[in-house]
Amino acid sequence: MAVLSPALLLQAVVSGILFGGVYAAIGLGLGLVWGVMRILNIGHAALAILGAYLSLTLILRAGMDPLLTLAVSVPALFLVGMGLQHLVVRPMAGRKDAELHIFLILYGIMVAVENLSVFVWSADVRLISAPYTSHTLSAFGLIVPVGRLISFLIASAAVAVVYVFLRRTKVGRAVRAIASDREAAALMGISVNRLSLMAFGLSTATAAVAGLALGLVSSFFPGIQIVWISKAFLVVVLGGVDNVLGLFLAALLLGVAENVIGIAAPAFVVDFVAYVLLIGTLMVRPQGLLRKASA
Amino acid sequence: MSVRAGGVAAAAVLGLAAAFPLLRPEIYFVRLLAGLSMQVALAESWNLLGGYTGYLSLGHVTFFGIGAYTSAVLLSLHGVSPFLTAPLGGLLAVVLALAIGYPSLRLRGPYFSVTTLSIAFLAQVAASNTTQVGGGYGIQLPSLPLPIWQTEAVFYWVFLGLAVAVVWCARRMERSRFGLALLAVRNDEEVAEAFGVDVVRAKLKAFALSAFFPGIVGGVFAYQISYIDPRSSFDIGLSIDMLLMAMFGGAGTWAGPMVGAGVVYLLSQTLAFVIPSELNRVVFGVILALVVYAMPRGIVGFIRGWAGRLGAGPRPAPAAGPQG
Repeated sequence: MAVLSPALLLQAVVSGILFGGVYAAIGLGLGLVWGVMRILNIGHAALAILGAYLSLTLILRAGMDPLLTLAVSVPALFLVGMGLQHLVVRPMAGRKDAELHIFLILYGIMVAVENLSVFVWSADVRLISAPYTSHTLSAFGLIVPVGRLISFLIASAAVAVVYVFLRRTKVGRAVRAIASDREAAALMGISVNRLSLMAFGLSTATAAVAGLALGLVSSFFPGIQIVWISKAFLVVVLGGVDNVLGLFLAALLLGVAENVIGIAAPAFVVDFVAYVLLIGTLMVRPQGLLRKASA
Repeated sequence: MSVRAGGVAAAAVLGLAAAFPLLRPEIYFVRLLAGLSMQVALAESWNLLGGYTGYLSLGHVTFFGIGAYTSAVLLSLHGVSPFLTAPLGGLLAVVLALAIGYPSLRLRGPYFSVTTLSIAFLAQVAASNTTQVGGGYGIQLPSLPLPIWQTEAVFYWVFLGLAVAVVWCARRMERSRFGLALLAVRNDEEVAEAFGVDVVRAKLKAFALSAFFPGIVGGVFAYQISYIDPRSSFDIGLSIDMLLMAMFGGAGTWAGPMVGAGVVYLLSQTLAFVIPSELNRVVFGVILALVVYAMPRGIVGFIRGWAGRLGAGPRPAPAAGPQG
């Protein structure tokens, strides 16, 4: 077991914060449709991994810079999200068990996306890199790989964009109005259908950013999506549905907690703690979720 | 079909099914149909909770895995036959179900599903890192000390018996006061509570029953394949299959999971010859989505609704009707 020196601890905290950006980026889109439309998109992380593969393919085949690939993957996944809203979510509205049916359909889509990814890209473990991502910066005795820094910056940028959109723009305020009271929003002349399309599109578009952020700092393969979706649930549950800043904070805390625990304990303990935390939060504090659900 | 004629037909089909291995068919077919019985038992077990109460578990493989590990450990360490210890695995699964169910059955809808899914992961991580049960390598087991042909036949009969037991249990439950209580819970918990149904107790009982049989099935399965590891024993795919088969055939009906398991399992076994396995799963994901989309009450629910519309007389409105 490593000796827990202050320098080591500081390094773990910094690494954890940077890694937490990925959790924030994935949780962001999940929380958005959860908050606005009461939909638990269990396929969200599978779409993020799909985004990672899109970026990887563009880097390897077209020689694009990782950041440039977002110009393709973000619009592509925006369209996927709009398609899900239009073809899956909207036709279900009015069914007695709409919530469960939508969840099950998204679950089926998750299984399909994951296995289609295996078929297209194989189950081999991949990582996204560019010539500069393995460089490191060092300051105050801390070492920060450039790839990690970029990952954190694009993830934070996605969080900032969604935050500003929801808080400062007219359309964003309308989306929040839908989240707080769907019927009242409709009565006020807000086009719920059009904005739901946009919210779902925005959610999956952030999955593209999350995918790139994820691929830069962590190896991935299609099956790993299930681990990421449970982490995303965790940060949404901890941070609060449709509370972007709370979610960001929860994500960074999770990253730090995992890294600090990781100094002293083997990797599986970290996963174990994360799952126990998720199950415990769901069981002990369901009112944290249900308060929103019944609002 | 009258009840009596139905009983005679069922007995005849069962008799034929039980006699099948005696006809000395190819071993492949004995194994295939043993697998079918196992899937029927699992899908019907899932149905006892998911179908009748609407609490969709995505973690039922946990109970299967608990059963597999219980029997495997007792066989490899103490030499006790899984045929004796499988019920013990079932009981452990019940204990776990009660422990999980008490806090989590308060969570409606997807939250319950996510919780059960996470518990399946947790169990897999735990099994992979417990060296006493072989860690990631799992446990190698001695096989049944019989010639291969008889071995296959024995497992065929055991799985057939288990399938019959679960289906019988579901059918009895459906027509009991308990079954009605569950349907009331499924429709509206608050109303059920107001009408004197002990909602918490009913849900826990359904969860316990629904976990018991997969625990037994897991123990027998471990013996049949002579090797278990955390990946295969806590495979999320198996959870999906249970849900898919039950939904496909018709969740909340005793016949549905049987029909669904038949169609889905035989289809997947046939597809396995034709397309790569990952595409096989793609097909299943798409089928699940389409079934929920177009036929949310499954094949049996669809046929019942259709027969109901043909027949005269008032019938209760279908569950997926436009009201509410």
